Amino acid sequence: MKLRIRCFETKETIKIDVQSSSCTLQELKNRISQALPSSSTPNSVHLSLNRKDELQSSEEDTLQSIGITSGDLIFFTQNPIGFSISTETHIPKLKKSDTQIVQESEIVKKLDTQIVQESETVKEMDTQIDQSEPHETKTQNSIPGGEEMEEFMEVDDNGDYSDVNFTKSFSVPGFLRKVFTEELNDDDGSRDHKLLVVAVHAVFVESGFVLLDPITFTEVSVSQFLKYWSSGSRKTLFYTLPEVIDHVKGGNCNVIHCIELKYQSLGKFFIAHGSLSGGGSVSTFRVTLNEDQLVPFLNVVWANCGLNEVVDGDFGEKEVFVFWRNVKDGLVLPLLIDLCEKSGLVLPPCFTRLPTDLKLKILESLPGVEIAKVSCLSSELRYLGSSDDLWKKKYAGQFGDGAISGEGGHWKEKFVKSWESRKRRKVINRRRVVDGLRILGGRHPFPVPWMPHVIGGDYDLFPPQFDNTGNPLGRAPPSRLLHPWSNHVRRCHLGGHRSNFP
Amino acid sequence: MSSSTKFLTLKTCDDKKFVLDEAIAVRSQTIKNMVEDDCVSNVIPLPNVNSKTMTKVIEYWKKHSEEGVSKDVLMDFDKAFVKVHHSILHALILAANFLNDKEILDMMCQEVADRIKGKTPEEIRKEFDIKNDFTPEEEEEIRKENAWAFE
Repeated sequence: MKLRIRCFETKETIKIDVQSSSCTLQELKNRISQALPSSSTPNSVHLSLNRKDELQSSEEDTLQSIGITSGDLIFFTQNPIGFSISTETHIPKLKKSDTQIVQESEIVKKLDTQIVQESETVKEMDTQIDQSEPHETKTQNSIPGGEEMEEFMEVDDNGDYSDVNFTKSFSVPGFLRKVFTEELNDDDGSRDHKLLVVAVHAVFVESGFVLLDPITFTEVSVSQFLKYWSSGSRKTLFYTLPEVIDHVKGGNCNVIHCIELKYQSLGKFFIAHGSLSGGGSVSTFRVTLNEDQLVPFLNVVWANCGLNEVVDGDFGEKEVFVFWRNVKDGLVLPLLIDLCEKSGLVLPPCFTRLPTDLKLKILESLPGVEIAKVSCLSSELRYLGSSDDLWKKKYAGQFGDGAISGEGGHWKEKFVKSWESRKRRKVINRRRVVDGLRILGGRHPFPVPWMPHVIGGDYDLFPPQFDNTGNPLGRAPPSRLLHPWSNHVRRCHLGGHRSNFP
Repeated sequence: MSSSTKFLTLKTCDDKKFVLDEAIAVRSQTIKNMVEDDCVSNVIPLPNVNSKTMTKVIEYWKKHSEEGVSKDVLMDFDKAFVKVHHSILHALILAANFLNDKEILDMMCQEVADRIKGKTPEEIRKEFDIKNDFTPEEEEEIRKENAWAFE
């Protein structure tokens, strides 16, 4: 399991990976003192979960037995009374590179022992598993080409998959922040690559994929993602769908189909290739990412991950969106379709499967109020429906081109403001005219024939034609703006569904 | 156009073949480009379109290529044409996108938009098989954010 260890005085944080089942408090202290550049002994390290009470236990207790779980933040100090009083003791800052090296060398060690190389077995089959065999000893992997074997990372086989805690934040690139907060708490030389890989990973996760451990064939929790990310210029990740794993568990089939995603670094370009695992004639999809263009924006997103306030919309929203769209349409969706076909899962043509530009096209042909409703359907649609360009167009369409001034950003907010104020105006107008005829809270069930310019009549059929005041000749705007559903309510549902929704 | 044949054979992803007058088939910009670039051998593979969808597309192409059909008749045809289950609707959008037939694409996208209009989110989810992946808290937040649209 992974633990975050934060220095009480300097607030410096390091990540330490320990064996979750067997690691004791003493071992953890050893690890921490190793990670510290200053000469410290394990016994001079004091640990606390809440910065007040030191973790007191027999040194042989395992971390699990004192309730520490993966992802916990543990404070440490070398000052024996550091936790009881607030002191200003200075502790030399940790050098992150040191801890990184420690972790890296351990990984290498594990690689040697755990991976069984079977590079000769080149078959047309997918990565095979024999469920009856114990996982950690001799899992067979036949991967075409075989040369990818050395890229498998160590396996954390402790079943510690419970700590998926997404940050429930909702700025525009919410799909990124969700994963970033989980994945990127440390940094090192290859961080730019990591940012890109995590960003692509975020799109995969958003689309329903899960990372697959290539050796145990179990799902890898989100928080362990970076462990599967090695250094070097070429790497492979395996993804599958939870449905595929269920399928196998249910005994319907004994091969977990998955897709493999390989990264290649070529100068400033970072290329992601994805294909179905194992098939001979499968098609490969690729997306080329330009580091110089993307990393600055991803950095901003990442820098804002810890913050709760909504990030200002203008920090490169477009670039992040273009990235998301490229990855989704160029890589994720085709792979999703291939994987479903291969594993016999039914993925009928559906709205979710449409390429992004078509979804946007459909959104664009909806009135603003409908876009707001569609945004409530799913997180993907919420993201698409938050596009500033889209709302700018809707604003122009609803309130007139003249209302669009040079200043940019926050068009949805502007739309909502104008919408609300127009509605208030209209309510006043309507009260004046149809006072006494109102039924059930002001909703008028039928067009009023003697006031066709107020409610119903031809205005229901034609698009609004307004100047930029939004209210020509002092007449009330068409009622369809007031009651976006009124046409449909009357025609199709007789108002029945309105009660479903407050 | 430098093609010597008048008929083209289209092969869908489920290995069904459609023999079609070239003049009709070039309603698809994708096929037209292939014909113009002279890269058409005997059979044009359409790896992204299945036969069921292609039948619908060809039905549309043929009707709209007929001579002497009045506008009213075509409008009625189009109206009936879009009244299909949403899975066929989306398959048609994907096919039209691949074939690059703007006419069908626009019509189908408009139909999707029309089906969205006037429905509650629950109804839209049901109609289009869209999975609600919000947590209850997220859903509450987004509903609050867009409450103005539901008043």
